Amino acid sequence: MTFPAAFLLWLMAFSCHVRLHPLRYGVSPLGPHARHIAVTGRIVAPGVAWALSAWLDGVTGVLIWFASLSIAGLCVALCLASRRR
Amino acid sequence: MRETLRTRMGWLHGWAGFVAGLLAVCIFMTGSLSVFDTEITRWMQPENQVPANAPLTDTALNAASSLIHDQQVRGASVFLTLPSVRSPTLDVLHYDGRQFVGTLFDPRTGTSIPARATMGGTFFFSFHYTLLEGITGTRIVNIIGVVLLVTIISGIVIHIRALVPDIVRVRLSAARLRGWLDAHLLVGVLVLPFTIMIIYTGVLVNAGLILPATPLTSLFTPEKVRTPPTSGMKAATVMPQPLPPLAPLLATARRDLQGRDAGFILFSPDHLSIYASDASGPFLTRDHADFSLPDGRLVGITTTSGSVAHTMQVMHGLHYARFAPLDLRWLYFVSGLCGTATIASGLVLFLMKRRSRSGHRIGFRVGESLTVSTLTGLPISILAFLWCNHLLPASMAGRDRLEIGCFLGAWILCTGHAGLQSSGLRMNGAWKTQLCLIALLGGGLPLLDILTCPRAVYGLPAIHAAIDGIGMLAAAVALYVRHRLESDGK
Repeated sequence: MTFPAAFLLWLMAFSCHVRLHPLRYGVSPLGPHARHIAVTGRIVAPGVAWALSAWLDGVTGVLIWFASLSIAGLCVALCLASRRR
Repeated sequence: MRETLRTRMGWLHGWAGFVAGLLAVCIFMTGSLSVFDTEITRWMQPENQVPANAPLTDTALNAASSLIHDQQVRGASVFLTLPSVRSPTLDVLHYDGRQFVGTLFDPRTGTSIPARATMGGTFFFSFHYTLLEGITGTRIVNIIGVVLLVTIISGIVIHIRALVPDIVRVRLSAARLRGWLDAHLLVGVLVLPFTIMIIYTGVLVNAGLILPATPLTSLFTPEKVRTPPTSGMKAATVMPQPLPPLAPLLATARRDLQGRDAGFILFSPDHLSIYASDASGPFLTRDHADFSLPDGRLVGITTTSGSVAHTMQVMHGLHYARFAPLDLRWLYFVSGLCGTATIASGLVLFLMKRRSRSGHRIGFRVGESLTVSTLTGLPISILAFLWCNHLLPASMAGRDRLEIGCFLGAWILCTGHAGLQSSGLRMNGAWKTQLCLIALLGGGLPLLDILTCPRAVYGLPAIHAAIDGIGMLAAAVALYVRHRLESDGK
């Protein structure tokens, strides 16, 4: 339960990160309001994932939080790479 | 000034990474497999088909007790490991100088299981931290760990400016060198927390071997010949006491060790000690309850306290991951493989950057053949080790030694093959042939498993599917890389 939740929140954070760097990742730029939401999402999503993981599983949860960071990041990167190809 | 620092860090990152990386790939790859060492042992002992969570009965405990007493009378030093979720058998074990061997009991009936002799998953575990070279190997592994930490820090300094913005950036369609660098950075940065944690805790676990607490001068003084104490001589001649029923002692130990399950029991002629299971939590302790023999009276509880002891227990717990449930174990495994991929891509990058300038030099060719024999030779030898386990007759004497021989033999052949190809400047040929062999051995693993141990595959489908699946995954990755090599060559 902890991993899917943390994974989805990290996916959200990385997606926001990508949208905040349109030139670097080749995506369309955001308007000021959407940009504000993306900045908030990039900060809040990992924080919520951390709180949830640590609250549900303690030390194990913290390890799951880091692992979900890695795997969600890899998934986003592979999606972007395949989209570009 | 900053550019100079980056340039110097680049040199340090490249050279330290390459020299340490050749061994680090082996350490990371076998360490990743060690996460599932018990499961690999079960895959390699298809005769053991006891299901997980099989209930432990008094009959089984009594059967183990009587065997332990018999072996104690013969002077053997044995211990008993209790069933757990991962290893559901009751094992009476002793150390034969290389590994723990002994008799496996079915916890439900107390009958012994005629499991084949094998090094099992513990082979990867001991290779991971000793490189099969004992204490010297452990020292080398620790030094490699420190060098890797230096390499990581220098890598962070080099890429600090683009570390966060480029965190999910990979350009596979760009130039080859750019693509490899992006892949190296992507995997390296994303698994950085895990990599730092696992290397740091690994170094700390055996830090005493390279940074001893005793003065360094004592290391260079000749070792005194130890004379055995007279009390030890007396102890050896003491007749072991008969063992009381173990079930009540286990219940008492569980109560007095704050409800933690018992992991194993050590036996002395006049007392026994029940140790808390390593799976009880992230603090890997050696807390235990002592009982006198033969009456089974509780003598005392030993627990370690203090912040330093607790810190070390967490460091051990995080590195060994014995407390980890199955899902976290998989995450350790995947992160370990990503760490291996980071180092492997770093090795390839190091060679690619220098090929045009130094490709004709003998040093470069030696480096490249060593890289081939590490990146493809090691997976081939691991797969050969697994194939050898299933192909050798189950009752064959010395089959565990043959398994190791097969592993080392395959690796030596791969190294020789890479060396020969590099002398003729045909490195692509070495990569392609060895990748083909990985695909053949990995892809054929499920077939071999089904043909040689159909009952075990049916009895423990999850373990067999997972290990056979990893073999197939290795085959798929090898075929993909081979395909990329061919398309780049055209």
